[in-house]
Amino acid sequence: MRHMVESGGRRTQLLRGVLDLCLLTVMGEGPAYGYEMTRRLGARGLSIVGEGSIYPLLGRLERDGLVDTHRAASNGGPPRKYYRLSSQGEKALSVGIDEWTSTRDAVDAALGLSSTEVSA
Amino acid sequence: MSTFVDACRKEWGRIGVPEAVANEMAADLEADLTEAEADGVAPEEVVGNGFFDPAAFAASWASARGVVENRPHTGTHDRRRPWVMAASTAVCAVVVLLGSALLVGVRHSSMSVDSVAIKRQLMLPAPGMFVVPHRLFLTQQSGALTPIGLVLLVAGLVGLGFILWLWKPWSARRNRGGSDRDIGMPSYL
Repeated sequence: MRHMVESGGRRTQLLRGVLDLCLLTVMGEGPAYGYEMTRRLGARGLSIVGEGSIYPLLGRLERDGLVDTHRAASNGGPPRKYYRLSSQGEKALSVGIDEWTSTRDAVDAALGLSSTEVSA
Repeated sequence: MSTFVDACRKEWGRIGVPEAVANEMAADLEADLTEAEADGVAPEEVVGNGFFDPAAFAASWASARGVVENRPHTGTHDRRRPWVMAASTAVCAVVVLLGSALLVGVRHSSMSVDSVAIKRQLMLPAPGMFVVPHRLFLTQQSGALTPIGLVLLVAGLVGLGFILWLWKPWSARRNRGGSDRDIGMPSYL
């Protein structure tokens, strides 16, 4: 039981560090409102059940100027707030992906999961 | 769903989110949750663990957006608290030092007066009557200062102990709740 909790905690911690990149990436597919982004993440196999909400994160991305927002009517529904990548967000995403890739490769190597050996 | 949104709206009102912004956030949330329900998606999948703690979720979202006008009482209290603690610690330290100085000083002066009195009595047997009252006067003064020094010392030490007791649980508490400033996600994850 404790092991399960710890595993869940690790997943949460890992997700914490990259969920902003995931959001910026799905926004790159086109402007989206909050729930639509949850759908897009789900379609990529990333569920946030039991994890945090994307709303505070979207709020921070907006405050930091990484996304632009506008209100528009959704399909037959009420007007929604749409988020899309700003130019600053595109740069942040590019930098973030580089950081993620190098970190993931280093961790893979440390865990012996990497197919390429790192020469000493 | 509206119960959850109402709870969020209540929290936004409490922490001073402008009404127009709160209305916008509530409308977005309501629309998203309604759409998710129509899709058969659980609300937890939309708002995460925040569904079980609407107040924390609402505060975290508003804080991340930077739309909290009046910080919650606890936030102001926490921000001011280090200064109050530091000032109280300084005052208590001064009281302890003062008490210690009085105790040490009294003992030292009492010994000095005793030695002076003895010397004068040896050198001048006759005017001992002048020396003795002087010694008695100082001894009485020393006797009065000793309990004052003792009281100051004890009061200062008690104060320092109390501050330490207050400070420790506060330090452990200060990282709970609110938003994760690193990425803007709620720390109740």
